[in-house]
Amino acid sequence: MSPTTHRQPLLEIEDLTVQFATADGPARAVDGLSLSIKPGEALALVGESGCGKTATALAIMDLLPAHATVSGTLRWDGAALDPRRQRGQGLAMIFQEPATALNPVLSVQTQVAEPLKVHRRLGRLAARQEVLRLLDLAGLPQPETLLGAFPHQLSGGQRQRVMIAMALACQPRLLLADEPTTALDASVRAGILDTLARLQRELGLAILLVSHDLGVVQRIADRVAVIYAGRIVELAPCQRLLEAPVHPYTRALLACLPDPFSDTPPAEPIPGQPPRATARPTGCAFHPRCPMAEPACLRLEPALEPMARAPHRLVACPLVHGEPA
Amino acid sequence: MTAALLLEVRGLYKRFPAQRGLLGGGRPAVDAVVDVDLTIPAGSTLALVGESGSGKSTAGLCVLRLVEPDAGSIKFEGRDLAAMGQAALRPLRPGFQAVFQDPWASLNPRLTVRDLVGEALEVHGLAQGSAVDDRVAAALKDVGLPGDAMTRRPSAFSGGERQRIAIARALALEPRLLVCDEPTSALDLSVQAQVLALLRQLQQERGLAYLFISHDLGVVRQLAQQVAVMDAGRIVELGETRSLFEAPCHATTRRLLKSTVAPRKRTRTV
Repeated sequence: MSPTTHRQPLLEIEDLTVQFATADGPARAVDGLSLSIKPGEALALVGESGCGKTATALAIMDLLPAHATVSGTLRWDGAALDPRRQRGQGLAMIFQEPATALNPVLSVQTQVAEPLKVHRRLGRLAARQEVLRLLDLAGLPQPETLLGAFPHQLSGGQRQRVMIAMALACQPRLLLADEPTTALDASVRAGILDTLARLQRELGLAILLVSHDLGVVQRIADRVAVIYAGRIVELAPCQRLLEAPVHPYTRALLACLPDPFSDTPPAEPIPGQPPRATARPTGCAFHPRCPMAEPACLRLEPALEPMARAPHRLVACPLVHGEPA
Repeated sequence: MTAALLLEVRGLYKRFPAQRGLLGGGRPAVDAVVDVDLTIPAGSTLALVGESGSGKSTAGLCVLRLVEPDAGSIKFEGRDLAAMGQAALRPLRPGFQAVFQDPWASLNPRLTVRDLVGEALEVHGLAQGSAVDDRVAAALKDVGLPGDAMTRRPSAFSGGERQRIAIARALALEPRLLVCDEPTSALDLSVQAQVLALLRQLQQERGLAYLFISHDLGVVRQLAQQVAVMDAGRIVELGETRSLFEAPCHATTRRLLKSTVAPRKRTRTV
């Protein structure tokens, strides 16, 4: 556990709901999600496609499209969050696909220097020096050779490092990373994750990692929040969650994980599919697929509460609430 | 292995020639596949693993003759596919089919599932008229899709369902070999598990053989009896899955295993 545990949260999310207007009616992507991130902490949002993890990150950045309705409270350092003021400065974000997130007709120097000129009002020479420092910080060796390069001349890993350099330009305190390595090769992936972990350590940067990949999560995250159907179903320190998942969904998900290092019997697939955002089941959203479901699960929406024997672990399932953790 | 060899690849070689770009760029010639030897017994799975650019997908496409190899033989059920013209190859094609990585790209969005799955049956003259409907329905049932899926288009399905449609399309022709190129890479973990379970079940029920191309060593460990590791177009290590994972010999294999980001689930001893 990090020494910052007892400090005031950097970002607090309370009862966040994101709803999209669709042809099939309102689709609730995020459904009353609450979460807090401490300074310097790496927290991972884990879940499968459509569970609302990216919508949560975009809501924090105020980058959702106009047809999205957002409600809930976001607090930054104890005060109401103004994403437009914090964006670039306190908050920065990197995306899954650096090839599309970068501007194809601007050189690396121009792109990385832009936030320095806009937010920090650096002159040309000072900006150049700072660009070199940021590229180096993002783990790009010999950065001066890259200044004139255009995105298409870079490898996928280099592009993501340029994105990271841009994100660091205004010394953010929280970096949102949405599937930052999903588009990359396995060998490149590990290097980018090591860089993110180093930045967290050296700069005291808090990271909110959005990922479907538990292997990626394990490399970085201090804590993990598992999302199902727009709600957090379990929140726990990373290693504890992987070793001893408690919520029935987390257990089933981990059982699906193919492990190259053991001859474990083939995983038991979770029956059925996640609910569509336009048609959430009543009660606990996981109940139609849950092996433990009881009649009460159809009626009661379980709250995310500390476990009886492990108050640092939260779980939204009364059936496992009292289990050893 | 005493079982009959379904596929026997010898000395497979593919070079992509140098290209000059419009704006003076371009790329040098690439030896994508070099001296690749592979054998797959009937009903068994060989995994081809390696990083992007190692040549594993090109090798798979050469076996399917969707990319023309420059040299080597590809014996399928005793006949050399590499030595045949496309016309002579066509009647053999139902025997070896493919499932690709991205079910958003591999299914024509304008066709109904009935046409997507049934088209190949008609092209190969394996069924006509209502017999096509029957065989499409049977193939959909085999992959766990409801019968009313026939009239819908790919957009009505989730990623896992689409990949089932792609598998049904291949199965409808009753192949003996499926070349699967990263068939679960685009899918969620729980959906991946469902598709892998389906592939295992189909192998048991029908004695299907798989050439399974993947970068995911966890998936490979679950599915393959044998693994071939590729690097820069060559097979650098080949062996029985368990021994290759537990005692990797080649540096590339070790690097792949090391860079595998797999959670260590330590089993709890209470």
